[in-house]
Amino acid sequence: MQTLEQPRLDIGEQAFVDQVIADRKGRPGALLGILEAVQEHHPNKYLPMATLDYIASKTGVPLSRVFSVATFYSLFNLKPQGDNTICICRGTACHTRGSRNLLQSARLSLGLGLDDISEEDKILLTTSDGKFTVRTVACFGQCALAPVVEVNQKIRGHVNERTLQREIETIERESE
Amino acid sequence: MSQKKISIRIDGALVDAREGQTILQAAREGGKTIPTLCDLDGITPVGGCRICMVEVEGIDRALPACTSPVQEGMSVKTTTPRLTQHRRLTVELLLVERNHICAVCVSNGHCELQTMATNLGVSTVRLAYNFPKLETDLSHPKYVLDHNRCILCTRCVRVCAELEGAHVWNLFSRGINTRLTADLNGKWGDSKGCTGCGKCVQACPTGALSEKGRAVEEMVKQNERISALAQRRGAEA
Amino acid sequence: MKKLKVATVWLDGCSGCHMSLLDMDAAVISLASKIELVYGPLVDAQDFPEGVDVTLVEGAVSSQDDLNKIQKIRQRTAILVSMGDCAVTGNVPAMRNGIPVQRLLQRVYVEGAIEGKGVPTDGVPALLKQARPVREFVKVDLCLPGCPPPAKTISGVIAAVLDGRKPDTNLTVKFG
Ligand code: SF4
Ligand code: SF4
Ligand code: SF4
Ligand code: FES
Ligand code: FES
Repeated sequence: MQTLEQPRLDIGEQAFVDQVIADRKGRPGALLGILEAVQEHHPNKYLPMATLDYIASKTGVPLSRVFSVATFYSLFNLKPQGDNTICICRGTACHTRGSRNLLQSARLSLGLGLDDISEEDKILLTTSDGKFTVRTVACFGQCALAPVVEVNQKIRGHVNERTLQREIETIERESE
Repeated sequence: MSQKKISIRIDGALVDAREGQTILQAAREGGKTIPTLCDLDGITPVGGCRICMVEVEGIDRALPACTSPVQEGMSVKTTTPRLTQHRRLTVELLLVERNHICAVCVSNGHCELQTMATNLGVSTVRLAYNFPKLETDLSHPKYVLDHNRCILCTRCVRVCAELEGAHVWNLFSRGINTRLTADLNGKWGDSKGCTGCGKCVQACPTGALSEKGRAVEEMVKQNERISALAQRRGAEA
Repeated sequence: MKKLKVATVWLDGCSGCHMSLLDMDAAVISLASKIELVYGPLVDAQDFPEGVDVTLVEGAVSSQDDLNKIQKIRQRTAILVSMGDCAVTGNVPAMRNGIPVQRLLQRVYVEGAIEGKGVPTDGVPALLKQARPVREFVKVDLCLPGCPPPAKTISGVIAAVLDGRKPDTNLTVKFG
């Protein structure tokens, strides 16, 4: 699991976080906005533990509360994201229409293995070259299009193993 | 405190209450018992465990007594077959979620969950046990956190925040993966905020938080001391 | 009068429940003339007989052998009683459930052994993936939690059956 072993924030990053906090001072629910802005700013679109620690100390929100909020919303990532994200819905509708197989084939074709497949409720795996992240969500709210996969923030409906494979190949080609 | 006096009925008997009280508070003052787990007198109620559900005349769904305010003339039932069924299922769900091995638990014989099961006549569960793999945090010099026995009631979270002002605990993640965390998912012993006061341990209804060195059956909680402290604080304020 | 046919079974448990059973003191004398103990660790019978009135099961279902036994016993028993926490909840035997069987055996018989003879295979039944309560495999008519359940509770059940009463399922019982 995540621990606090990462280095402290560098000065530039600190200044950015300070500014984000200052902009939202006194607003109710400011923490959510702060976390979102800071994550968006990170090149790997995530919230390192050191950043959470820094946000807590600057806002006065208890560490445990910051961690609680950052882990409650699936929007927030505590691990670095790859350059491209493939997000597979594991909701009931998508499950009954074969999203498990989509997940498995995406993992296999990106060399992410099939370990811990049983602990499936929340998966986040990134390839070692940092190019792809495969993750799951509980439901996109687009069940009529099941099975649903989000490829780099674009929703794709009625996906099958072949079309998913083609999406992956397209991204690979474009990034070469 | 000059709150308006009102009267309600609890299981048919008239009970005096004050405006702004919860059904549970009025019941306790009137000498009536409503079973509870996540509630602890003196800290803010959250209505999380749903053990304290009661029926109120004229309302279809059951209401949590610990968070529902009293209203003039309301008639409350604390024990009906439906409520008992509901409470049993709630206890069963709590028992299957983690690993409650009472026979080897520090709180065996002094545990609110175990007592609740006994009082409700729960002799088995109707669901499959989850048997999750969970950790025990032994890093604190004085205390132990065993996730296997935690029912996520947040009594420790609230007592640490409200009475000690240390805010060490919170719940993180969600659904079946929800866990108690010290600070940023750290080890309890590494928490700079923890004063070692032990309030969370005393407030915890189960064997999840205990004093180090206690053997099976040896952990007897003193949560009445927490309530007394809260009352003193309230009077001072 | 026809005697009540009672059997006891010892699956994955510590035998503490059987000790409790023997702890009935005076109750044993009044029961002894009315029951016939037809099977169990306390008697010699080899095979589980047909037409048993009451069977008291101690222990969780932990091995393939336990599973075969309990299925046969269920077929041949009118009233099946889970006696004690191991049979009712899994209890201590279930504390291994988070550990894969192979790792467990390796740890106990190889890493943990002073004189390594390796993992025994001869004449020992294969462990199931997890030790689980009896109720999860066959229908159980009555559960008596407790580690062990008090002798009185056990004798009370037998007495109730003798009297032609349905054993009270709302007994005051306690886990642990
Ligand atoms: S916390 Fe309570 S219910 Fe859980 S094992 Fe301990 S005594 Fe049993
Ligand atoms: S010991 Fe006191 S300060 Fe430390 S976590 Fe418990 S309640 Fe909070
Ligand atoms: S540790 Fe105890 S008090 Fe805290 S949430 Fe778990 S059961 Fe409740
Ligand atoms: S279940 Fe996949 S979008 Fe709703
Ligand atoms: S005591 Fe009221 S919901 Fe837990």
